[in-house]
Amino acid sequence: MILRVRDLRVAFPAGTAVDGIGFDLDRGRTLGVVGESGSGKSVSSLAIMGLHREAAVSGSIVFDGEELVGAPASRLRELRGRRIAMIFQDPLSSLHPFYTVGEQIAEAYRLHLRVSRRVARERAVEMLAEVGIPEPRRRAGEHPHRFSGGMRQRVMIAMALSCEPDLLIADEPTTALDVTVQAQILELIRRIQRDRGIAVMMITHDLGVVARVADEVLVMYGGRTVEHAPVREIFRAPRHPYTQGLLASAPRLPAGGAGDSPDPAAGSVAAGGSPDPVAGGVAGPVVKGRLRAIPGSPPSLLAPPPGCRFHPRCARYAAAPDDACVTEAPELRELRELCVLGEVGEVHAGRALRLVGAEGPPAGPVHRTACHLAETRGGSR
Amino acid sequence: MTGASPARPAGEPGTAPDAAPDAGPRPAPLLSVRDLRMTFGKRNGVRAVDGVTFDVWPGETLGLVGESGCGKSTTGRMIVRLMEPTGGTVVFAGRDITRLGPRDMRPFRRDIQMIFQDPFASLNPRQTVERIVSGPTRLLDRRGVIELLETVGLGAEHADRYPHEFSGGQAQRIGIARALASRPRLIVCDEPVSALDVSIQAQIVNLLADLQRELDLAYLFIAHDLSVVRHVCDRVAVMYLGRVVEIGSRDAVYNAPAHPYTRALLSAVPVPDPEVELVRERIVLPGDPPSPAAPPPGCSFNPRCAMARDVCRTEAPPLMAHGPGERKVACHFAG
Ligand SMILES: Nc1ncnc2c1ncn2[C@@H]1O[C@H](COP(=O)(O)OP(=O)(O)OP(=O)(O)O)[C@@H](O)[C@H]1O
Ligand SMILES: Nc1ncnc2c1ncn2[C@@H]1O[C@H](COP(=O)(O)OP(=O)(O)O)[C@@H](O)[C@H]1O
Ligand code: SF4
Ligand code: SF4
Ligand SMILES: [Mg+2]
Ligand SMILES: [Mg+2]
Repeated sequence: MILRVRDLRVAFPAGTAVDGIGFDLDRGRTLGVVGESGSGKSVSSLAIMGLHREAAVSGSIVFDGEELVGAPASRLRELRGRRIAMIFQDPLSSLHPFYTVGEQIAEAYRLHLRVSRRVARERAVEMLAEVGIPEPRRRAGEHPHRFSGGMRQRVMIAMALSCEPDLLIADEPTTALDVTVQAQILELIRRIQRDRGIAVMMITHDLGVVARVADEVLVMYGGRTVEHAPVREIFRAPRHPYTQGLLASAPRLPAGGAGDSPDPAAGSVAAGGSPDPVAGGVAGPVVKGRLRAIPGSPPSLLAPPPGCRFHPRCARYAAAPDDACVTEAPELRELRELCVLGEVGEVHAGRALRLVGAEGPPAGPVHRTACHLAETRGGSR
Repeated sequence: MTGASPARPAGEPGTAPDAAPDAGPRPAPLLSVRDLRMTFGKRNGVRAVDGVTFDVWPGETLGLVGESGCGKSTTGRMIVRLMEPTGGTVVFAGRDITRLGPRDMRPFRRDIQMIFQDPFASLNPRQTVERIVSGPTRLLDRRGVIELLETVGLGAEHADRYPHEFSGGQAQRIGIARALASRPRLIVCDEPVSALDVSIQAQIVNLLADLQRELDLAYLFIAHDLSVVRHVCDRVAVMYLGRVVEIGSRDAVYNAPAHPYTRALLSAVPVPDPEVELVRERIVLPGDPPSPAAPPPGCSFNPRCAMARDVCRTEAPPLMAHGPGERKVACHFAG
């Protein structure tokens, strides 16, 4: 296990942005972190990188056996860039306009490894080639403004990987890119991860990106984890009303252009299961032109709602109001297999497949969700 | 957005000047754009929009998709006359409005409105919501403003507030209310939900769908998110480097894309379903979209196209009818 986060809290003077998240991440695996803007995704990742100045960070971040919360700044600097690398949404802001791309990669490399300038320059060219920049030797001598958005992101990836890190944190790395370029970059990250066996924390608001790259998914809402599960579970059997709402509200293309049929995902879930009209279901859009929106808007950091932060928007709560939802923050709890087996009649295709399927039990975390009513009939899907 | 029937009269009494002379019982397009062009800069100009042609029918939604810089916004801005085209024509309700002066343009400014991607940047931060919605010419009184705010899901209590007091989704609702104040028949929506969170996107998409049904609006819906466009549009036009490369009914374009670029674009969109993503065939295009300052000769897609042959490097393919469903494609080897 390369990264183990427990009860991570990040408090700014204005309020608590991240309020107790935790997960484990193994080498060679990708954790997708999803949530709306302001849900605490970036703040969490900056905490892991040790990049918060004004914030109080508490809890535990264990990287390869070493506690990072409270570690000296010099130690964090050593790890940063060397063993933990990060790429951001806007590559231009992290590249210096006055230096050539090759110089910047070489500098980053020399910062951590004592090698000659010449060796570092060679390394830069090698890395540019690896991330698919054509004519790497020539392009290494150019300044960032000559590069397109997609190529700059490749440069950032080259820089991030030059020291062979164990963990790559990618914060919305393709959000600013066109979809065809996004496909290239996601492909690149996946190839490099496979070749080098690094762990990736992929932060995004795009459920499609998560479905493409993640092994497991952490869904954040208002600074807390609301659901954490292997990627198939999140999409096939989401348990939290927020996750269900997100999936239901996202328009999607039909798979493989098989006519304008209703969504395939909708079909497979609804077919064998018990679509939960109360929770909005994951059955995707039903009325053409309209989507199943989640009402209301995300909570403010300054005055988060009491109890469950999702309650003002929650369909499950609206259908069966429970005092606990407004008074107590629900804890993240494991969903026991038993409770699913107990309702065999309700078992839907996705779940059945998981139990008997050829691939055996899924790797990764057990399915956890933070909802008082997760195990009530109306909630378990 | 809900596949509105195009069989409506081209004009509503009182709002339209005159219908097309030969309109007759056949419905006429509300908006006809013909060979529209925009070249920025005098010498070696950047041909941002390079001969765009399409129609928008009353009550329908035409999606305009394509990658960054392909000329979508520039096309939209020329239609609402925020920008003077350097070539081509814009015909609205049968009347050529391309070169109308400010006075003659005035009635059309009411008919054609626009909403923008960044809801805050498009609202004057020093004006109250009431001022913003009633517009510079005070189209509406307070009652009218409040009615409109209620139509877009806000309320009377919001009328005296300032833009910074609102969330992104609410600000976009204000932008929509402002666009509705003059009772338009066409709204150019330039990435109206791109800046919003997923859950809020759905709210705004639903609002636009409801308004279309209630008010018989036509939309030109500019977006780069192909999943959203599929959901809201009746027809779709795909742009590449200043030109339309494919246009047709939504189902024709999405279910059987005929242009290699459309196919690649659709296959690149991530689908929120891990099992589908695992087995899905993806066409990963090489390279970046080229710059309109130096378009490649022939078909501008040829450097990235796996099907390109010699003719593609010398001759630009015209936009031609392709199969049923009034689909048109610009490719020498359209599939
Ligand atoms: N005022 C201007 N002067 C010079 N070039 C311009 C101007 N406005 C736009 N362009 C160029 O015209 C081309 C088309 O721009 P446009 O804004 O229409 O693209 P778009 O399709 O809306 O892209 P996006 O998806 O990024 O919004 C781009 O290459 C852009 O750089
Ligand atoms: N330096 C800061 N000072 C105070 N609040 C901050 C700071 N950085 C982020 N926040 C707040 O923390 C919350 C989470 O932000 P962030 O992690 O950036 O969200 P996202 O999930 O979009 O990445 C937001 O409410 C944001 O306004
Ligand atoms: S705890 Fe209550 S309010 Fe929160 S998600 Fe569960 S049902 Fe909804
Ligand atoms: S005309 Fe040629 S290069 Fe252009 S899209 Fe068709 S096959 Fe490809
Ligand atoms: Mg962020
Ligand atoms: Mg634009």
